[in-house]
Amino acid sequence: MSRVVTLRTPAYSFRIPLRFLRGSYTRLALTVIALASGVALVCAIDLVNRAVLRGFVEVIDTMAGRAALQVRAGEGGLFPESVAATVSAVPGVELAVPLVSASAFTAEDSGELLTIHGVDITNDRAVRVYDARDQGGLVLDDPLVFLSQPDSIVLTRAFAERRGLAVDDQLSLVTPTGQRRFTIRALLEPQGVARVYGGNLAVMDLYAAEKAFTRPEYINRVDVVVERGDEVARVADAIAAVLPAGLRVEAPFQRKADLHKVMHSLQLFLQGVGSLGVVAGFLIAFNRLATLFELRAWQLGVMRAVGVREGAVRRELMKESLLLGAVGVAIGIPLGIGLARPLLPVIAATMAVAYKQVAPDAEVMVSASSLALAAALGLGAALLAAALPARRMAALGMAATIRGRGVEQPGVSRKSVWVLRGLVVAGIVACVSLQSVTRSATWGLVATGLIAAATALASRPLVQLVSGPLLPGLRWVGGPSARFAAAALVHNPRRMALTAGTLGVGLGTVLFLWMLARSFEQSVIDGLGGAMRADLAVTSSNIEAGFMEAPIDDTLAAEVRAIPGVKAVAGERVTDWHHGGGPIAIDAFDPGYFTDPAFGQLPLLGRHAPDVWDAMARGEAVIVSSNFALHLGVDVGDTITLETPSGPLPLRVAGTTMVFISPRGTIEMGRTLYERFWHDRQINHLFVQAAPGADVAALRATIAQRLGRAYRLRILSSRELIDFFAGQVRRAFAGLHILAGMVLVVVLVGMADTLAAGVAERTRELGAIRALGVRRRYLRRMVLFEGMLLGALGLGLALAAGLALGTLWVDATFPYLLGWTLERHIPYWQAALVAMITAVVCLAAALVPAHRAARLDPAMALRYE
Amino acid sequence: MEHGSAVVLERVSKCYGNGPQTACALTDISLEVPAGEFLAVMGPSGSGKTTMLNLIAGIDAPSSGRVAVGGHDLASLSDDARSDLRLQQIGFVFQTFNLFPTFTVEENVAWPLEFLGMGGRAALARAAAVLDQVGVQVAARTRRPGDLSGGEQQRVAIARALVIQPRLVLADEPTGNLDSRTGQAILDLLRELNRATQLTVILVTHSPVAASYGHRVVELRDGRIVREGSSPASETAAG
Repeated sequence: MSRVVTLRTPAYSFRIPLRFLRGSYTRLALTVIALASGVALVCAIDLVNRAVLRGFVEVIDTMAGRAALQVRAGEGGLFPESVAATVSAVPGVELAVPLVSASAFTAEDSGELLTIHGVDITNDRAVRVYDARDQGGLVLDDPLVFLSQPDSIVLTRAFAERRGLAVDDQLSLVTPTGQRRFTIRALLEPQGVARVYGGNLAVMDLYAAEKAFTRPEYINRVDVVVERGDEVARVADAIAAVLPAGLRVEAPFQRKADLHKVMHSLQLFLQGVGSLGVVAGFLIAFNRLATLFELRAWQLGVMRAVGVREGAVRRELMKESLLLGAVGVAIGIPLGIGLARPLLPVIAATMAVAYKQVAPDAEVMVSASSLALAAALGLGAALLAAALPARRMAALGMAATIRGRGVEQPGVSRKSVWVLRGLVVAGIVACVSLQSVTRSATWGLVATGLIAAATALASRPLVQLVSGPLLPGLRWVGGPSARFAAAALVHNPRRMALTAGTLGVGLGTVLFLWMLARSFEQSVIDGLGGAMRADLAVTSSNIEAGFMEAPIDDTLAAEVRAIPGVKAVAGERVTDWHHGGGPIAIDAFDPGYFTDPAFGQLPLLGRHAPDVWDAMARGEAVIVSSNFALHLGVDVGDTITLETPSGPLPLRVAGTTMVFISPRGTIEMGRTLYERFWHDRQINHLFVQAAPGADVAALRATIAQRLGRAYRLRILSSRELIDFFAGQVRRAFAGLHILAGMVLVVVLVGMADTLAAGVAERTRELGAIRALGVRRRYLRRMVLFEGMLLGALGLGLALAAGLALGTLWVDATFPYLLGWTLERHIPYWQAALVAMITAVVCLAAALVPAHRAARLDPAMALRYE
Repeated sequence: MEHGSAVVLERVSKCYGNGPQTACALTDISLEVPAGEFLAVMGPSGSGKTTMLNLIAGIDAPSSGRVAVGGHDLASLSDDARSDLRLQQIGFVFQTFNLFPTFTVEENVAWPLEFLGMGGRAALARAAAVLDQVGVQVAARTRRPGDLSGGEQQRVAIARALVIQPRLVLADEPTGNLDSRTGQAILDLLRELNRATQLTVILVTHSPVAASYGHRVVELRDGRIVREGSSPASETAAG
């Protein structure tokens, strides 16, 4: 006989895998759908993340116009107009444009937000910076009229046309100083800054804007145009050197970078959630492919017996999964693009609420890298799902495999799987410890993945643990049908364990996300419950950005105090600031708030200074939020120095509290102190105490009647205000609920797939049962029982996984990744809802296969191959 | 007489388990099969017939002893090399046909050629020729195995074994699942192939009638050779 030679095998041909897949298309359809759903989720989230960031960045770019630098005192801090002159004198500065940037709202019911751009209209150079001109330049019929009439306003043509307005028409707007009427003097074409916010922009003269929105001779921004050829960084340093304390000079790209940094964490979180969808799809594919390959083990044995090499068999199996993955990707990507469009406004709103921004007009733009990411994950998941079963099947003993047709083949050694389980548990413990030591959320994210893996790995021991007591118990409960169902569990432990594991991971993810949302919402409610006890809370009915109501001038406080029946009022101002190299919030209350608990009291955590409330009222101390203490390493008794528009301000920390205004941290202080250093007289909330014996409802009506229209007020009880904030939290988490729902769909599709496959693959066995005389209804019940058993096992795993993940995230990962510190709250009724949905879907998923099982023709089924 | 022998088994044993639980399917078997011989291996169920076939094919490894096929000591070959030997030189016919249900008849015969590097169309063309040879009708070739009778399926299985033009065919109870008339037709086919092409055939069977087709019969019982000799039919032919 000739010498054995090396052979060529069809490495790049898909003929053999396609032939094997023939006849399985229907069975594999649900698997492909599961993979496609995971791919769609990842694709959609990536597209949406990019679109949202692009939208916010475009606003920054467009609003900046040609300005290379901006001088600001935080988001809304005021400083004298003279700063612009100081800046313009710096060498390298071509132009320094003083600006008032503010928000106003249309006075009728819609309360549409208008961004106000207050600039010196007569300074053509200043106006050109923003390219906000019509075709012939910003042509005003009579510039003197514009300047002499402080009610003059320029609107975009788009906004005007939407409202049927023209030049010389009037428009009522709600400003911090109350409702005002403005006269339209000109219209802007949709170019330059007039494009932002869908055309909801109004330009006013600087003086008029100061009067309506800040205070005379006080601005909140200086835009700087750098001389051509001069280095922006050098000019920025020169400007910073001459600025008063508390003011910062930054380039728009820095703002973009800062924005990207703060949003990155939330985007990372969303991507992680999307990836869990891919993991669920992977588990489903792993389950199906493992089952499929196992059923074909005898065919693989035949291939090996005929002479195909082990590596070649493995390669053919991997090609099959590659085909499935490719189909999943081909369906998933268009699905993801379609999903991104409705998801975009939800996620944009989440980011706007979370970071107190105005949600921009954003559009989904298909990007190659998003598609490539989704495709890589989908194909990778499919290949990975096949890798282990392919390796196992290819390495099986040929003789035993051919003989063992229809029997579950032995898996990898139990010892090695237990070693793996041990390693995963050790990994979880290590990551959790490292997270608490390093305060890096990365370890928490790794631990999250490991917990998901541990859930999948725990499924087989769970199946084995319950199968012992289950058999006799189930027979007692459900008769022989139930016993058969339990026997299926015992005799196909790997397949059943994989299905239960998939359910556990998927449902566990849903529960974990709901626990996070519930913890956040309840923490907000608990935190505010004690802090807001006044009889009434008066705010603007307009939301300026995120969840924060538009500010109102504090003359409102005096006006409300003058109403009969009002005992006392206390104003609250919330604003963004910066400290320690990042953004924070300042929450300032009138002194009366600290001395009279009837208004409410901030709940203090841990130790505090004995004179905390008096010191707060006197403006001698501050209270910091728990996340401020965590992220900036501050403790009670420490002194922090804030850079303010009026110079550095050293402050003693007298206590910590739980507040949810800023993800990085909030400083609570007296408003007298705040007003002195920030020159800001506006408030966001006014708390009202009714006089003893006064009718609170009547008082509410009186305030509304006298002042409601002028300021467009909303008058709420403390409970209603707390409910409003809780509603804002729910709005912020709306996107998360949608994503959780999608993960649930992927998992339940997989469940249906497994049950359907289970019946199809046991056709012969079921046919034999029918041939022996078992009635149809018993077979139907058997499959239904199987579905319910799997659902119960999966739910058990899900509860454990959801609780573990929820605890990890609430206690550690969420604060380190996204900033806020939370209290743990378990979503009992949502868990019950998930249990109910699982039971219903398991039942529904089992109905069709149960019906098919009952309708089997025994003769045909026995011949089935 | 190893040179010129298609198969040599030298004191081969195959045992399973350890210690007191050890069970031996084959014990100390020695056998030589010259090239071109039609050998029948007889014995009741559990006598070790299929085990012996698996050892010759290299699908299984002996616990002790030496197995050589075509002059190659199987123990000295790697797993890949044994696979290559089977793919190029040994045709295997299973009792239960083991045809792939989702492949057509042609594809079931052609696929080993694809692993030998032959293109799809060439493989199908060669398969068609072999199917002609074994008597499978043209109309049946695009159908699935499930649509064929047992006899047709076994002819297809034989075609799969022959398509690679092997030197040795191992047939494990090829008529076990067939009626007597169909079984006889299959055996006639194997005998004809042996005569016409000097193909070495080792046929495992429990049927004396099937065994009579061989030049020589070896009888196994409890894993040992208990009788070895010319079959009555070959004696008659020689006489």
